[in-house]
Amino acid sequence: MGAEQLTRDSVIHRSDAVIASNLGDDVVMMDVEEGVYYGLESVAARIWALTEQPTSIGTLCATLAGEYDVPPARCEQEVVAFIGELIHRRIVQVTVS
Amino acid sequence: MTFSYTAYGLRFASSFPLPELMPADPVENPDVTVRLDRVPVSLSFPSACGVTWQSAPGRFLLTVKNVARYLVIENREVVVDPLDGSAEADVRAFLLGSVLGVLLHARPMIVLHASVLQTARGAVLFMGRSGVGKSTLLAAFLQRGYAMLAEDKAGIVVDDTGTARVMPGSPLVQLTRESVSVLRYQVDESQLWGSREKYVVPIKRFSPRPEVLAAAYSLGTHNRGDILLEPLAPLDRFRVLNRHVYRRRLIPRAARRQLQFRILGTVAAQIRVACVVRPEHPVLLDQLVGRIERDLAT
Repeated sequence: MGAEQLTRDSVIHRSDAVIASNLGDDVVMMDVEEGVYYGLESVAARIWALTEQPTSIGTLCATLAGEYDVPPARCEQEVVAFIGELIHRRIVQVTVS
Repeated sequence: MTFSYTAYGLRFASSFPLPELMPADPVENPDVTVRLDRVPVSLSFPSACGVTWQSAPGRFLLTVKNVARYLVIENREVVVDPLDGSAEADVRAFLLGSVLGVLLHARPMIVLHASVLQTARGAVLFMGRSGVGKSTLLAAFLQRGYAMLAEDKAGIVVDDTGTARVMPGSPLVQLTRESVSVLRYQVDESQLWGSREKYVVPIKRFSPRPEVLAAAYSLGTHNRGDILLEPLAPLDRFRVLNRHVYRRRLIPRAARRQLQFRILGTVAAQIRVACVVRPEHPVLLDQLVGRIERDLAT
């Protein structure tokens, strides 16, 4: 499923294609097959942490809105864009509940 | 006759002397055996190759022009075939260089292109491209009373407690003619080996035990007159450590990647990593040592 179909009810799972390692507040990950590395910092690393258990975009946004000073609509828009990027890179997968 | 040695935590049994390695008591099941025999010019079905090497499942073949052919079998047997007219020291230089690198990459460790110093805080790595001065800087510290753990290749493992440790390599440094003269080592032509541009200098101040890894410095040069030292944030630590993996193309593929990623992640999370940039000329060796000593004291 591509990013254009993401909704508040889309549930995000971490995929098996990457392995991740915590570096303090940051996260580094590797695509096992390709050997490509990714680094996540600040909010990106926080979103990754929140996907440890499968979680919906709605829940994710509610949590982030409580932690960061950001209007809900903009939060959702940016989270959807970011999750879309993670899907594109096979870092997470999505299902609709 | 069998000669027994230890390096990087591995036990070696060789049919000919390897005086650069630490002697050890013979063991029944050495990790690596080394012998002289004929080695084929090429492998039947290579799965990867470079200009001087080929690999196939369970086989690695290195050909060094005018020196020797080396065949590594299942990462535990090395067959050495010296070419006509080659010097024994040169044959050993490549055995203890790339061939040893292949053997180490196959173990549960990560191998970085670095020299390793023993300090009161633990092991310290000097990383960098060839010729940047990793060995010269190590030797400068040795002359100030420090001991070394390894040179050229740093083998790092994560122990049962999750701590990154550096394995002791062999008690030598390889120095260019210029470095030998700056550091005033007494050498003769018989110590020239490998590419014939470096002298192999035996070192007495050698620490033979695995040591907790404390810090790593990535060495570089610039066209300015000063020395810069910049500590790195975690993600950059990972990036810089990863850049200094020893001859990455020699790593057996996918199977080792996950393990190496885990070790690098552990190291990047635990230790101090800094970039140190010095003038191309003059080298400012004394100032460089002082700067790193001060950084280690903070």
